[in-house]
Amino acid sequence: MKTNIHVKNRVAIIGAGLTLFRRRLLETPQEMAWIASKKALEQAGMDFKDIDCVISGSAPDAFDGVHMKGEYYSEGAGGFGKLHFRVFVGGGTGVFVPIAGWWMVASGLCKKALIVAEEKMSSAADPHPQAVFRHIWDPLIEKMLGPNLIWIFALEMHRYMHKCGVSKEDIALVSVKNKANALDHPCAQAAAKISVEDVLKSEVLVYPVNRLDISPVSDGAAALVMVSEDVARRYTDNPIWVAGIGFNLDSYSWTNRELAYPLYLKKAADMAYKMAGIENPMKQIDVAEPYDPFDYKELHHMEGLGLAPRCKAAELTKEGVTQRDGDLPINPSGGLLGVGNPIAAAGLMKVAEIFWQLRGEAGRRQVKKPVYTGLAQAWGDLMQVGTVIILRR
Amino acid sequence: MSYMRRISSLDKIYHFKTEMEINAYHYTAGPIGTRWLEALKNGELKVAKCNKCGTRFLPPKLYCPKCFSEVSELESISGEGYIDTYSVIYYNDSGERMSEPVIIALIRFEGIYGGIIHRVKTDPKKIRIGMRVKPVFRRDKKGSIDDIEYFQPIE
Ligand SMILES: [Zn+2]
Repeated sequence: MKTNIHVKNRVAIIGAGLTLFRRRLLETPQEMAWIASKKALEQAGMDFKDIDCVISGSAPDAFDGVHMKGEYYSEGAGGFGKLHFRVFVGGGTGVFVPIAGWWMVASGLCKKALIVAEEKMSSAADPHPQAVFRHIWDPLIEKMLGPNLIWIFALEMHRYMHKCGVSKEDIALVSVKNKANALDHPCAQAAAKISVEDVLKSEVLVYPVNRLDISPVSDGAAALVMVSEDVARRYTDNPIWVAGIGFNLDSYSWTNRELAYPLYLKKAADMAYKMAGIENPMKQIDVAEPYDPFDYKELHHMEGLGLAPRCKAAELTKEGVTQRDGDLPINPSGGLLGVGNPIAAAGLMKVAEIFWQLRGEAGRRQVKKPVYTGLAQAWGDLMQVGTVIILRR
Repeated sequence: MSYMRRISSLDKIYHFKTEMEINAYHYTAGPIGTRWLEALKNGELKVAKCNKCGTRFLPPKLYCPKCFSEVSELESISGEGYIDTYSVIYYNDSGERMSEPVIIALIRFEGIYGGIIHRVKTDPKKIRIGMRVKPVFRRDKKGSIDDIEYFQPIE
């Protein structure tokens, strides 16, 4: 395996924790951050006092309704009297937080990092939290049309369907699979046994998007403990290594992109693969958690990640390749469609899932084949950033 | 530079006006915060207590701000505190002089970690740091920090 980078310290993940994902949690954002952090620290065999830096991430302040909310909720993660910062790349944040944690530990700036992502979308009460996304559009050209987030997805989904000859039925299979996978996830909000017909018969919100094509709005938090190699060896016999990271930004203008293919992700993945020495992702990635806020996005992102040939992800899905017992299990956690979508926390939940899968600790969600290398990915900012992390045992 | 002209009137340029706020937020109080607010509704100022390290603290939270253990207990205190620092507000947000100044203070309590910020009602000429104060509750209480109308000096 060839890699292109020299780091001061190899970086390992030694613990992960989640809160429940729910439409509304009673706990405050600080308390949610505390619960996820405490669980991650417990798995790592550590306490808050052992941590020397806290790296956090969260989506727009407008959800929680607290400006500079990173400084607010991070108190619950013990983020004071220590090095702390918040990173924010919209929906891509959940995977960007451990990327930021990686560079802190890899560079030697800190050795024991607590990585935490929090989202309390239920605070935004009126109008619906979705309204926050109204303000991501170009203020002069697009905003006066009164757009919402589903419009973006609908335009992209339709373009992908057209270019790749993918049907609504093909796409619905993703929702069916992920919601079923989530039945085995103790934190899941939207787990369900549904059929393709259920998806097709749910309301058409914005053609071609039906209600069951979409992940829910959620409250939730997630945390990881990331440490340098010498620390990892003291705490566990089973560290999971960060093998590669990647991130990339495409054009803000939707008009200037071919929507059928996520170039932002192709470039982010190439960066991560190069670092991890991966030349053939379809063969070398054993399990993956691509970002699936909508069902077609799983297919779209599999192709951007090179986990399926272009326009072929739907076929692999139909053949059962992406099931938990398939050759390339995709979103064994249940993903955002099944577990829920507290934005930044949902992305970090995916990294936690790959960590547990590689440790063989995913319980009823454990994929059938032996897994050595896994990948988690998120997508966001103004819908044009890709963030990727590759883990290895 | 011709592209950096000062704009004297919006009437003369093309622009687009919109609002960018969520109209209403619902902030949940958390499990400990809920019980703390219920105590306020009953006219009682309580503090949270950590059973692990013994820290008694305000504002109340599900976790101890010192040792990060889970907190499940509230404890009664006398409510008598002292002024750690204060400020007197003469002008409001719009820059208008207020008919009556308002005193805002950081109030601490003996043996309690943290404290709360609240109004104090007294003569601005007489207030001083270290002054002892106690809460005055409203008659009509809702389970909110505003159930305390203000703190007043203890004679
Ligand atoms: Zn304590």
